[in-house]
Amino acid sequence: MVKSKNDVAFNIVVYAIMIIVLLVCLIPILYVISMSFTPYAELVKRGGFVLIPSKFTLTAYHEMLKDGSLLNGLWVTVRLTVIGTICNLFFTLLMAYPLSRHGMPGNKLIMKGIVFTMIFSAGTVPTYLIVKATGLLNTMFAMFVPGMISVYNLIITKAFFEGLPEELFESARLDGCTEFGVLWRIVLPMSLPIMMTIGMYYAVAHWNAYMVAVLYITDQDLRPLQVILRRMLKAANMDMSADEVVPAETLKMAAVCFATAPIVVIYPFIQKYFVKGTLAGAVKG
Amino acid sequence: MKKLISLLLVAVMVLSFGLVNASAEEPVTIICYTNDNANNAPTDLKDDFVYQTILARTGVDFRVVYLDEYDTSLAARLMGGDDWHMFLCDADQMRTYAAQDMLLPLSSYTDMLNTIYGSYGEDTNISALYYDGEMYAIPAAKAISDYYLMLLVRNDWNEKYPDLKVPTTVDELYDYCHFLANNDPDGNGIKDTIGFTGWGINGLSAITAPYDVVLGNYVIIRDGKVTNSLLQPRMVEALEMCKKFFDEGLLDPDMFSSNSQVKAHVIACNTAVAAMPWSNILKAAYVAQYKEVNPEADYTWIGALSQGGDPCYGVAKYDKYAGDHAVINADVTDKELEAIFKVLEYMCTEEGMMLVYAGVENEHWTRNEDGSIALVPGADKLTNYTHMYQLLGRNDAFYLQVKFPEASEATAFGLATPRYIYYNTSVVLPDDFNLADMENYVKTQMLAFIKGERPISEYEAFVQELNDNYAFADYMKLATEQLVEQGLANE
Repeated sequence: MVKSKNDVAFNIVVYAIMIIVLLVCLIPILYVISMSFTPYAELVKRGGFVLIPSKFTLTAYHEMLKDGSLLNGLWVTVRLTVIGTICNLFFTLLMAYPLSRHGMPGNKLIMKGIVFTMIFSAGTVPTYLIVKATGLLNTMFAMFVPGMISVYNLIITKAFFEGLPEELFESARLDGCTEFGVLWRIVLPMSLPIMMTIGMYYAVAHWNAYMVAVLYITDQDLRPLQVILRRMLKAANMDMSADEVVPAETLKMAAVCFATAPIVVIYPFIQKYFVKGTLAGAVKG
Repeated sequence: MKKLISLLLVAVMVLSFGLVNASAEEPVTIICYTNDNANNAPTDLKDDFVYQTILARTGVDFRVVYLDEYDTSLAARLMGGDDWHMFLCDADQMRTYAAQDMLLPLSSYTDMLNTIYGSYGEDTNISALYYDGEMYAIPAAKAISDYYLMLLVRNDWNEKYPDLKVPTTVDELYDYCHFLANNDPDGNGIKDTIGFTGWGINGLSAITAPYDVVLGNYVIIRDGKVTNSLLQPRMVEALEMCKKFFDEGLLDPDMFSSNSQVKAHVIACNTAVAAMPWSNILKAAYVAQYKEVNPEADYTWIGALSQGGDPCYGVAKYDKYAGDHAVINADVTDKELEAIFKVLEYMCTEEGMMLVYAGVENEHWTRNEDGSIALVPGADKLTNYTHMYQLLGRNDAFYLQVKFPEASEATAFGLATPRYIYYNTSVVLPDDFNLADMENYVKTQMLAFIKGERPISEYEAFVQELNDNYAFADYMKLATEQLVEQGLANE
């Protein structure tokens, strides 16, 4: 097909805009990565802004890992992400499945109650009071039990289950399966996309856990990665305090890479489930 | 198991000595929340020598707990009914919580207060500690960081150009910056030398203060009368000088947007004059860093400039007590209050004061024959969290000399140099008065005047705008009433 001049011009404009958008997204990431590998002296000589360093160094990473707190923070975050996500998935599944079954009495009312909490949350202090009263303060549970089931994730999981053919359940029951057996043997194996999707949502939320840790954790050994990272970055804007020596900029950027890398690495592998999962229940008929 | 072992130990001790030690009871625990972030604080109390020493000396289990996102976390803990005994807060927070009867009034504890004043000095005006005529905040000698700002110049460049006059007036500063910016002092063949930099618009105060002006809302007292920097007669002259610096390309283009530590080191490479705190350039750790980048760079400082008036370096608040202070829970038991006072009294002793300044004698510091203090080499890395425990503040002149001997000349010079004293922190605003909007507007307009985006001839119109749109006149009226009432001004 011969393209008209207008089409070519249009494509050029589209490509130009796309390239600009791409650069806008890419440059900050490149900046952070480059800074973390740049020798400090080069960074300063080039006015504090380096996109492609002429020399590479791992000094910042070496320095960063020398300080045990960041590694400890990573360990806390990894445990929180793994344990938290497993618990989240388990309880979301247990709640979404019965709510997706039409025969369950009162499920509309329960659903309304759940959605209500999505719009009107309790607020910081009342939630703090509950966490405190249940003895969760300063434990890892405080960071995932209060938000065990996300309403948003519950709704998309429920929608996914509603999309499964009713005949499957009937034949399973005819073959003598219990309700729990249906969930475990039939529903769960078919729910890989949705589990991956909401699992990713939960995992990213745990990986980025900050406010829950700030509010409920004062034990220094239980601080997750993001809290430690935030403290390092907070020193970026100087006040006139004489006491603290600010960590070098390269060190901060290395910490940012360190905190972001695992999620960035995992994401492409489960991205394919993502599209399927998020579209669950989007088309019904 | 641990309890069993301790019980057995106690039993053995009793049997051995035949008596029961009356003081061997559980130490009282005191929890004090702080927003003073010490990145290097030990995570385990066992390794925290300040905590351990206070416990050993006073028998009080005194825990200073740092909270991230301080305001939110603190509110959750206070409202959540946690066991807290003290926390650090600014004057506004103190007034808020005092109004809710959550804080212990302190005025009647005169012995305690006198002990603090005896060790840390008394300020004559301490409005930051009071709410409704009652003292709620524990007096603390604050770090006088306003006095850290200095005019830093390159000594190596001064030596390179012996005929170049080191500035003493603003006009000479202009010539100095102009010369260096145009003569490639680092000899790299690129015209990359910046004339003047600083952090934000405040950095320009070194240029404008000699005109008896700073570019922002600063309540000042002149001839016993309350007025404002924005209303000073030489404002237009000062703005024109700043504009001259800007028009000639002598102002650092980044100075209004960046204040990172990297920035401070970038300056080390290519800036003639930097209005910056000494603590970001002259501290040993930073000297090592910038020397690595530019071994030739050698910083020194110049005195305050004058320009047809008194010499002046930069802004400093009148109320040295302004800042964060510790407050006590109104519901503490007598035993807990006694424990708190015990700790505070200990911090007033020479040993306690030195503990929170620089650590333990002979372990972290030693006393020279002439009585001066010397840090044990390497100890600074172990002690650079003790400031968390400085609930009574510090005698900054002494403290800086002890902690940063490498910069002692600079710190002494900075503390002794005259500053542009302002009284904003002595004025308590009503809840419905929003000063931030006005101050933002002032900042943007000042930049517009300097950059030529708005003609300086419109300055009077600008002040009128402040009156019309931001209740500036009302603010000044309020400030005048309060400062006269505090006996600081006549009218």
